[in-house]
Amino acid sequence: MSETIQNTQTPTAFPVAAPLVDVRGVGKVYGPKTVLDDVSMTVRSGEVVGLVGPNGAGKTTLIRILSGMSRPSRGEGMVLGRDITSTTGHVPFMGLMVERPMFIETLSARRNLELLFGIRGAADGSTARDVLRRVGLDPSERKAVRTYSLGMRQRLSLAQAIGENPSLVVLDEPTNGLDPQGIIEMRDLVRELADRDGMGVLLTSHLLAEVGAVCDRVILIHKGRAQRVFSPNDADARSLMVLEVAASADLDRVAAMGGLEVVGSDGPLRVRIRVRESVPDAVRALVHAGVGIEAIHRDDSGLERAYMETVGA
Amino acid sequence: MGGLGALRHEAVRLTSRWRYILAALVMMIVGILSMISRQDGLVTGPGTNGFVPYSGAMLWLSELDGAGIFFLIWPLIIGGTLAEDLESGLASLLITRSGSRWRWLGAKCSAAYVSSTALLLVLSAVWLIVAALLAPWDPTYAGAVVAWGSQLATSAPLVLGLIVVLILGLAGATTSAMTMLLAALGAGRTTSQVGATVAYLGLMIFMPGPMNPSDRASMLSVFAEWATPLTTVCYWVCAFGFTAGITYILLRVRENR
Repeated sequence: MSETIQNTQTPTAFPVAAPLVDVRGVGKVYGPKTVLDDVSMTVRSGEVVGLVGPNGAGKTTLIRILSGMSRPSRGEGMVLGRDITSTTGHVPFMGLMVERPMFIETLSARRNLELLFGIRGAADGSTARDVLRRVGLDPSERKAVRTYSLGMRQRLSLAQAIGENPSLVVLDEPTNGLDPQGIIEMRDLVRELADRDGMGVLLTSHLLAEVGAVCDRVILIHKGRAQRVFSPNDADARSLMVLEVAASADLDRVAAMGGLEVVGSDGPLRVRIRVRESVPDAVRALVHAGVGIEAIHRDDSGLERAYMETVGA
Repeated sequence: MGGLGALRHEAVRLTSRWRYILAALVMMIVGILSMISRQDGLVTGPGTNGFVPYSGAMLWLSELDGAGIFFLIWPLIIGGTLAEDLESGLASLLITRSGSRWRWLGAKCSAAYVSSTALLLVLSAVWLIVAALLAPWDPTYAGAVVAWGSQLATSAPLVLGLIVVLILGLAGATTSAMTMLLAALGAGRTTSQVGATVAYLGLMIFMPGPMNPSDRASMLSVFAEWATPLTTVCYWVCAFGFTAGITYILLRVRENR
């Protein structure tokens, strides 16, 4: 993931205007147990949508339905033009990163990809090399995959998912086993898939800060239901900043300033404010007012709060 | 592409695993040792009674015949890939690329046949060389084989050997398909399917001749009228098709329940 290469392929053809995923009221019942209930969602090209929720919330069941591996008990909708209630055997092509990736252990990463991409026969010889570079693996490496670390296997699994430029990529716990640098690279790559390549990305993760940082929308699933849809990038979330101020700062004066709203405080040195206008203007105003700012950063805990309010309740 | 690419992926996956290589080496060594152990009883050249009781051709054909036992327990040796697919989620990845479930499952079944037949072809070539080194290659004395093969054994033993190899490949594919069926029944639990396959084979061994997989896998040495190539092929094809078909239905039912 350290090297950026030019992507010469366009995503697998799909009408740009139509949502890649558009499902309504989806439910799944196993015997007497309802594992998914009335979930509606869309994923469009160039959009990253996150699914978060505790274990057993229904995320995997939803992904299985969306990827054509299971039929819903209720609901309707289309995924890549395929009716999710269809009984025909056709399964549309999408990039899948499964939670427990499996490879041909005795072969190299490149050979693994060549064989996998050979199933569709749509990739040329350079596709495996390019995608390996893109996820930060060495395409000339001849070591068998069985010698790979967990992080390298995770990168290879991502390469399996994004190779051949699918319109829709589904990533199940993509940061599992990655070190902090790998997590950052993964986040950048996911954004790049959406922003530059125009793919629609649906991902699950337990790392709420990462989900909040990379997703356009986050769906909180709990007890089989989509409890909340959270947009980390909406104006409200973007404008929430944390100020670390000098102990001598006059917080009453800050609270009285126009364009700012003090919405919380973690003691006298950390103040959470909502900036109604631009952040640079707010900082200038604070400095002008004599407030000693030690540090300022965006408040990323919004999703965490929303999660705890929903799940922890 | 779909089906062919999936077949290639599956065949490479099977044949590149160390268990496959190890199984091949064990079969090869056991076969060679078996032929060597019978060398003491060989009479090179015309015997005292004017005939050669053992020849390289007989050694080779009887070894191929005995290889059937390996292919009855083939999936227990190399393991079940369907269980692995279901447990790991690899099934989703392969199905979305294959375009359909039946292509994915068809590729698995075809790969089971390709991998077992390819291995047998290599083994039969090695055994053929060893047999020719151990005893004179005298097809006239191919030994006692089932009625339908006796003429072919003397006129074209290599063709007879090839027929046996192709049919035994079906036996390996069928037991692999049975393992897949048990994986589908057991929702991918590998441990349960090993025991279940043993139970299945144990049950089948006690079945009467025409239905007995052990007799069908040792088709040259079973002296029965019913053991013709056609009925033997039909037996394995039907068993193979039945188990593969039921597996497919079970997988669909599991997904759609």
